[in-house]
Amino acid sequence: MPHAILVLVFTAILAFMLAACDSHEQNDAVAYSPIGPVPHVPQRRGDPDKGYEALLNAPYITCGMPYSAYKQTAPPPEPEMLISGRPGRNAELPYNLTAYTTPEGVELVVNNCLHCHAGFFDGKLVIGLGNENLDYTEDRTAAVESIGAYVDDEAEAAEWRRWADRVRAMTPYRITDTVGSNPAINMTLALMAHRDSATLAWSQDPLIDPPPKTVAPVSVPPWWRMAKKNAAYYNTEGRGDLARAMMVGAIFCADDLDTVRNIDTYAPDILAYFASIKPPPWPFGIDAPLAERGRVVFERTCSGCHGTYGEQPSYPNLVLGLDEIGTDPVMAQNAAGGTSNRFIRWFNRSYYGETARAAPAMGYIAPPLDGIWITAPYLHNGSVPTIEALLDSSKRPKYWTRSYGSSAADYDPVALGWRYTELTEGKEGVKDSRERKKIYDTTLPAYSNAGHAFGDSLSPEERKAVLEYLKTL
Amino acid sequence: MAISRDAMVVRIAVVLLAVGLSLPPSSTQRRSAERVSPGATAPFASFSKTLKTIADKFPGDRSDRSLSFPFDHGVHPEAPTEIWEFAGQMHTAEGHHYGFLLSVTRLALQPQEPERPSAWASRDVYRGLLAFLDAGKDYYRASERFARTALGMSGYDAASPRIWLDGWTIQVAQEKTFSFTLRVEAAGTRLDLRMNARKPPVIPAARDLPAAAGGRLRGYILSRLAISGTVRHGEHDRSVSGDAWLNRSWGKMAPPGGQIALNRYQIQLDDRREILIFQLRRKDGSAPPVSSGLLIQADGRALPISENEVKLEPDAFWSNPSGTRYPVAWIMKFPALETELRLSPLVENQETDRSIRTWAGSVSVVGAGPRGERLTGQGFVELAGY
Repeated sequence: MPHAILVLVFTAILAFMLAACDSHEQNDAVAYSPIGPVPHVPQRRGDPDKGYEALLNAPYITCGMPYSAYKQTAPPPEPEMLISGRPGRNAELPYNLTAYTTPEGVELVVNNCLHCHAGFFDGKLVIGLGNENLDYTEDRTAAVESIGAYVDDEAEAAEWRRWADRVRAMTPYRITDTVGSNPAINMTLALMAHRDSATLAWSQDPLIDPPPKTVAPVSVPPWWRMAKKNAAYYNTEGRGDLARAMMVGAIFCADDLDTVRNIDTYAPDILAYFASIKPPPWPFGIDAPLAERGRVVFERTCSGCHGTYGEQPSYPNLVLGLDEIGTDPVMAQNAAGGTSNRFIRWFNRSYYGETARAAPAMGYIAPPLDGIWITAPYLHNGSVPTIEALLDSSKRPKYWTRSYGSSAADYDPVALGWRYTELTEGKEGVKDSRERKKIYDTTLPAYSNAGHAFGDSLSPEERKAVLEYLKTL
Repeated sequence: MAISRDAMVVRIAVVLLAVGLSLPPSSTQRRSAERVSPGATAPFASFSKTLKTIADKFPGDRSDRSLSFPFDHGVHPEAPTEIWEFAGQMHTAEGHHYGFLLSVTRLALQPQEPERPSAWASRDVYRGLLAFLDAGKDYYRASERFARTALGMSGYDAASPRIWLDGWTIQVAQEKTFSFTLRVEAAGTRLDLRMNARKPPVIPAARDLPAAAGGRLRGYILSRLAISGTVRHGEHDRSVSGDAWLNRSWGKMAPPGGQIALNRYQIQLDDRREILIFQLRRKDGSAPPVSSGLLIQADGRALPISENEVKLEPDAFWSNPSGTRYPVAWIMKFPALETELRLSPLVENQETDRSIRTWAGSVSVVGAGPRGERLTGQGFVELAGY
């Protein structure tokens, strides 16, 4: 659907990819972050209510499909796709689209952050939950081009071309192998390659080498973790002024400094909103005594990295090295292994890098586990379908698929995760591309489900108790 | 979020069929439409707006109903636009090789029957285009006609069931679900053809259409129909046999104008597979063309062919007397299928210089498959926007 097109196209861009450091200095030295605790950096204050308004209604993405073409091609959204209280044109648009009128007076429909950062559970939209069902395996260029058939007015045509050209420049770098995997990192790097770091001006030809076309899969982390985290992203590459760091999500369309300076005025509000989001409570029953036994086990074996929860929570902001965590290394290596230095430099030279800094670590941060029950599949690459399998590596499926539905029936309240089907073969043996793209094949590079085997040392009773406790977070 | 790759592609395919729709602009618009420079869309703008205004008066088709036949061969009055398009090639025992295109478009003027008492008052207008090729004689002729539904000049009779436009008729057989009889005559050529589907229809699901067509376009493709009947061209009635292809669509379609032009390639291979490819071109040439389509296997299953699975290169050109240059021969490469095909026109001049000017012609197809095996077949190509 056209909004799906827009969506697929622009989105994941809100990759808190690159980041910040405490230095305001602009220089070309690439610095990686160390393994260990991420220090706290004071953040700009923001108003969460204003942030919510801006997130849903402000035009931080400034290119998209002309509204008139949208009206001719898009079906009216299903009721569950609407968020009540949105003003004006936005009231009629699905949650992941925002109306924007350009300075030239052209009405556009543009994507917003919610495309990747809102998901459904049991028919209800959960803002901040990563959408783990998006399909980035397809090349949608023809669909984007075909929208041009509905555009007559020359000013609208110019906007359509601006949008379609960016989509086309980015597309070769964002094709994933597997439904549910998010290509936000590669999309952002591809867009950096087309922009002047100083002026942000778009160049139809890349100015630096684009990233490799092979996309390392990423599971979209929930926004509410930002309440506790001192850095953004799995490898903590977003450092310093985190509101500025996350603004790189505007890179799809932000063609000049005025645009980003304007976004910067409300970016701290949006970050404050993220931190204010309360994860949805576990919707099923809890065995309280079992959960209490689980808390004891958790605090003995898991809290060192993941923190404690309850009245006086703690969170250590701890980055673990690849040897220690043992999860798939590709994402961390891609960022901190030297091959991405041109993108780190681009960021640090740009407006985004004035107060934020890109400084990836060669490892992954142990995330806060608030609302962990709803954030399946697990690990940074989404390679483990359930908490049960995460806590017992012998239960992790080598090849698996799922419905990609989000109803209560699609959810497994015993194992904590989306129901899945274990398969006997991986992608290689499956010819039909429609089937192949739904197979999570952990034998592929970047898709490994290894590591984080800490639960293996627990007894089955202890694992059961920890699982019960995790429901309460 | 539902995902269905083939549905998506079929969806795109169907909307593009609509994009390629030849709609009848008024006589004043005809010349300007032909002579516009690339990217200049103004002459179509007002016409486009009129069509949009009409289409907006129609309710969108949001139903999830399955198509049913023969019902859906006939008219859908709730849809503002509807197309029946047959294209095929035929042979005679004497060695004649013919090609044809029969396109009938119904355009509604308003959702309701007219209230004014005039016998000329009309709810719909039908447009017909017949192009006929006698390859051996280098003969190609396109004829066009329009008729309002008033005074019985055109229309649909559900009892027969039959679509007619002046003397042209498309009869839908009631006893056999996928069979048609075409009777058309123009410019000294008369076709009396029976068409029986050799394969099941490719039908996009209604819920999947919204993506490209706003949920307002439905349709089906019969990619191989056996032709039998007679052709009178010149003095003689000759028995013919061959293969045809039917595209059917109805709903709210993309109006003419816009920023893109479309080429369409329908290939029927002798190994019983068919390939449908659309190539989208920006009229201003500001980006390379994009191609995608469908592979319909011998058993009728349709598989998508995505943008990176097909490469098209023009291989020979033909210019009409006013200098418009058409790429009339094409090399088509399918890397994933390890297949390469060459499409060659049976005759270079197959231009339909009517209310909309296109090159709409029959081609022959030769090529090689993954094991080096020789592939042969026939095709129909429509080139628009040149």
